[in-house]
Amino acid sequence: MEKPPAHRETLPSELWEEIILWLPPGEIPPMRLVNRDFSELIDSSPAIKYRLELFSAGLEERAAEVKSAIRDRLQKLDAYCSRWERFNHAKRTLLGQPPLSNIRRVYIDQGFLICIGDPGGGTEDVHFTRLPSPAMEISHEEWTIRGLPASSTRGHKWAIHPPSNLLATPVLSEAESSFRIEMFRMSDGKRYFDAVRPFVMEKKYWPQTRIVRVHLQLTGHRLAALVLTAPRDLSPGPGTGDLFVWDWMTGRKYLEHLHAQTLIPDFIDEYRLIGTVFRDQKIILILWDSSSDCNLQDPPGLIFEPGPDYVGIPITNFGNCEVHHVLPFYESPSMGIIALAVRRRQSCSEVATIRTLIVPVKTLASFASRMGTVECIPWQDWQHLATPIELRPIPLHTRILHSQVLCVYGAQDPAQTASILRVYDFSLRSRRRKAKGESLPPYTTQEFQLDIAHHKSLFGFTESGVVVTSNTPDGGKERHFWTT
Amino acid sequence: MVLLVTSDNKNFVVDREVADRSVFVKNTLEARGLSIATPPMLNGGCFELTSPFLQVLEYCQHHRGEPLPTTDDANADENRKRTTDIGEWDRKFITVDHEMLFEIILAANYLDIKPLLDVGCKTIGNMVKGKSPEEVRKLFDIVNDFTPEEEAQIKKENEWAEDP
Repeated sequence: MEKPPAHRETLPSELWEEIILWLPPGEIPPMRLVNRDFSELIDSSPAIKYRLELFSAGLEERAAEVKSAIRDRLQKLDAYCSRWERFNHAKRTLLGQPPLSNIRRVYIDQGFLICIGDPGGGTEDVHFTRLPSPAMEISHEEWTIRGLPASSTRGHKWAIHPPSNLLATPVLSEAESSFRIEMFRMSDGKRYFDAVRPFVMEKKYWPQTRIVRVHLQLTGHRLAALVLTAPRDLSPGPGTGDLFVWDWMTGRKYLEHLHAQTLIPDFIDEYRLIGTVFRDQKIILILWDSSSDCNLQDPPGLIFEPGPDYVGIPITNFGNCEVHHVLPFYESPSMGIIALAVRRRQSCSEVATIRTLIVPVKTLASFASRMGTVECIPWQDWQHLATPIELRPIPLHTRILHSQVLCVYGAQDPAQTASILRVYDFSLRSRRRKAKGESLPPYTTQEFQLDIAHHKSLFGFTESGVVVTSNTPDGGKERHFWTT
Repeated sequence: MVLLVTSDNKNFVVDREVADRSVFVKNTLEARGLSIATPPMLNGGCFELTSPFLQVLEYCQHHRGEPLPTTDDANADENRKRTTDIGEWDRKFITVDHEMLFEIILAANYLDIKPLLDVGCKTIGNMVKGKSPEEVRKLFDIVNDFTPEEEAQIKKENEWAEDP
C-alpha cells in the first residue's frame, strides 16, 4: 500500500490548509477530488469547515460580525481533541506494515496503539497493537475488530478498558442529534452481552442541537460520556457540555437528574475539559482550564461529591499553568487522582514547569488541604549539552503504571541531530520514603540522551522503555526502543 | 547587527531591524536578554535554511521597519480582509518556480514571518483558483490516488453540497 510520492509532500498539511483558506469558498469542495490527502484535509480542518459553513449560511460578508464565537469554538474543540490527533503526522512512520487498509486515525491509549481504518461500506475497522509492557496481563499482541458502525464515530473518542476487555463507542444518529453507546469485546469485536442486556445507553437531544463530540470513559463499572453540542443555526452563543454516567453492568444511570440540564454552562466558550475520574461509584472529578486566559481566577477543577444533588466543589487553582493531563487512576487505585499541569514555554530559556497534583484516595473529602506537589523543571537543566544549540521541546507525555507515574519530556535541536529525553518518575515509593522522614525529592529522574539524527517523534512509552521514531537519511523510517 | 547561521554553516550578518521581521528570530534574541539597543554581534543560532534564506532576507530587507502584524487573533482576523491582491513588489518577488515557492513558504512558516507566509499562500491560492481538480493535480504534480468508486462518491457529495 505504498503511496506514490506526491509533490504535495513538500508542504505540510497545515500550510495547505492556509492556502485552501485563501480560495473562494465555492471552490473548496471540488478540491477534495484532487487526492486523498486533500480530501482528508478539507474534511477534517475546523478552519475550512468554519469557512464553508459561513459561506453556506450566507454569513460570509458578516464574518467579522458573527464574532469569532463559532471559529473559536471549533478551534477549542479541536485543541481539546487533538492530543491524539498529533499522531496523525506519524502514522506512516509508526506502522511498518499497515495493519489495515485506508487508515484514518492512529493514536495511543492505555498502552495500545490503536489504528482506525475505513474499509468502505460505512464501517470502520479497529486494530489494536499492544505496546510492550510487562504490566499488561493480556496474552495476545494484536488483533482487529472489524465492521464497527462508522461515520458516526469519526472524531469522537473511543473508550477502551483493557482490564475488562471492553471497548465502547458512541453511535450518532444521522442527524447528529442523538447518540447511543455500543460496547464490544476488544478481543473479537463481538457485541458485549447485547442479547441479555435489557437496556440501552442513549441520549436524544432536540433536533436543533448538533452533537459535536462525544468523549467516553470506561472504568470497571461505569461508563461516562461527555457530550459537547453546538446550536445548529450557527447563531453565536455557547454550546453545552453534558456529562452522563451509566453503570454499564446494570444500565443504572448515575446523575440521572443531570440529564436534561447543562452540567457546565458556557462550557465550550470558556473551558476545556481535560479528564474525568471516578471513584467508588460516587465521586467524579472534572478538571479543565481556560485555554484563552492563563491567569485563571476560577478554579479549573470541580469534584462532584455523592449526595442527592451532586454539588460541585471547586478544587485547586493551577496558577499560570495549563492543565495538561489528568491521569485516570484505575491503573493505580492507591494513588488517587493525579493531574499534571504544564506552564507553556514563554521563551527559549524555559521549557516548562510541571506541577503535579496527587490526591490520596482516602483523603479525597479533605483533599483541598492535602494536595500540592509542585515541581519546576527549569530550562537550565538542559544546558550541560556540549554544543550550544537551540532546542525545541518535545511534547510532554505522561503515563501511569501501577505505583509509578511516568512523565517523559525532552528537547531536540532544530536540525534534528540530537535529542534528550528525560523520564520523571513520580513514584509512590519515593513518597513513602519521604513520609518516613527521609529527605528525598518527590520524584526521581532518568535521562536518555538520544544521539539519533532526524529524530521524528516521541512515540510512546511503557514501564519498560521509550519508543521513538526517526527518519533515516534515505527517507525510510526507523523505530527505536529504549529500556529504562 | 545580528549574525545568522544557516544549517549549512553560511554566515549572514544583517541589521537587527531586518532580522526582527522574523518573529522566531526576534523572540530568540529577546529571550537571551538582548534588547534592540544592545549593539554589536549576536550569534543567532542555527537555522534549517539554505538557499531560500537569501530570498527571505531580500524580503525582510525590503519590508524592514514596517509594523509587525499584531498577534492578537481578533485583530488579525479583522485585518485579514479576504483579498487575494498582492502588492507590486511582492508579486515580482514571489515570481519563482514552484519548488522555490514551496521552500519560501516553509521558511516563512518556520521563521514565523506571517506577511511573507500570506504572500506565498495567496500566490499558490491564485494559481489554484478557477482550476479543476485535474488541472490542480497537473500543476503540482499530484498523483490521483482515488479509486473510481471513491471519486464518484465525492463527486456525488459535491453535487449535493452545491445544491442551494
